[in-house]
Amino acid sequence: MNEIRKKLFRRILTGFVIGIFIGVVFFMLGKGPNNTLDLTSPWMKIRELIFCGLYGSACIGGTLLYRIDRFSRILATVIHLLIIMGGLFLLGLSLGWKFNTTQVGILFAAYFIAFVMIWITMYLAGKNRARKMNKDLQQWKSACRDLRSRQKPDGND
Amino acid sequence: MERKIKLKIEIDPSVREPEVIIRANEETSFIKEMIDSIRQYTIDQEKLPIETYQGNIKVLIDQADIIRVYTEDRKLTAWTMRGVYQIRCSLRELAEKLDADWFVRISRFEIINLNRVSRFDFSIKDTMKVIFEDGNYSWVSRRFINPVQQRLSDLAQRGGKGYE
Repeated sequence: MNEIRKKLFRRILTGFVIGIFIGVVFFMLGKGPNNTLDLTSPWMKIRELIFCGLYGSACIGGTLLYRIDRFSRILATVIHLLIIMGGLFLLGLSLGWKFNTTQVGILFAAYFIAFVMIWITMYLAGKNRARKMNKDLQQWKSACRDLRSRQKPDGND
Repeated sequence: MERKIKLKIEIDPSVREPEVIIRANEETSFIKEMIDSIRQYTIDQEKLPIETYQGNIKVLIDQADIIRVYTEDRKLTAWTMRGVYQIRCSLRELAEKLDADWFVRISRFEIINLNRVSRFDFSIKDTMKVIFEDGNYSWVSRRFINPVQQRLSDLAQRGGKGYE
């Protein structure tokens, strides 16, 4: 449990740093979402950066869901997707972003496609890993069989 | 054929592991048998039978017969090729007695005998499934997949050494 907590803390911290970094990049590009923000106010800039950090924490911290054995991979994926989507809406609402149905639909579709692709990649990686493990297992067992047959007194001739 | 040998034991506190040196003018079949016996003895010592219980009857089972050992309702159960037995010690204590090459932990509650594993399968709905020779199966906890994979990779590289 302690190990999971440590990992969660590390990922939250990493996500926070990455979130702030992405926020800074957006500021430097001068493209605040929807241009609804008064980015001339230092307080707004700090608030948006903090929110970007928190959102990054939610996204990266949420990846630990895949390590919890109680959750199936599909359930973990759905919860993670909901955290990311919900987090984005909370972030947007608190910063005064304006959403319309089309934007929400596009956003959801984009996230959904991204998650399906990640999920398929993880599944194929898992299958590949199982294949590698089976190959190693059979290689070891075969070597053991050879060794045993060599060690039998009858097999020494 | 003369089969007498001289035995000489040197006690040296600085020696970390016992060492056996056989001195002979040639490697005869007798010498080979002796080497095999010593090797077999050390292996037997590593794979001591495990004390288990069926009710109150004590049963010694070979490590080779064990398929999986798991904790259920705070009881340690050994699933073997000959049936199911209870073990009266903790999983951690048992892990120290089990052969380190054959047995690997797949979760906080379970240790399996790799020698009795038929194959691994990655399930679409869950994590890594391990299927045993008797057709039963279990699951490798996600955080134990890497250590299990590493162990298999090491064993494959070493070949059959340590199996005997």
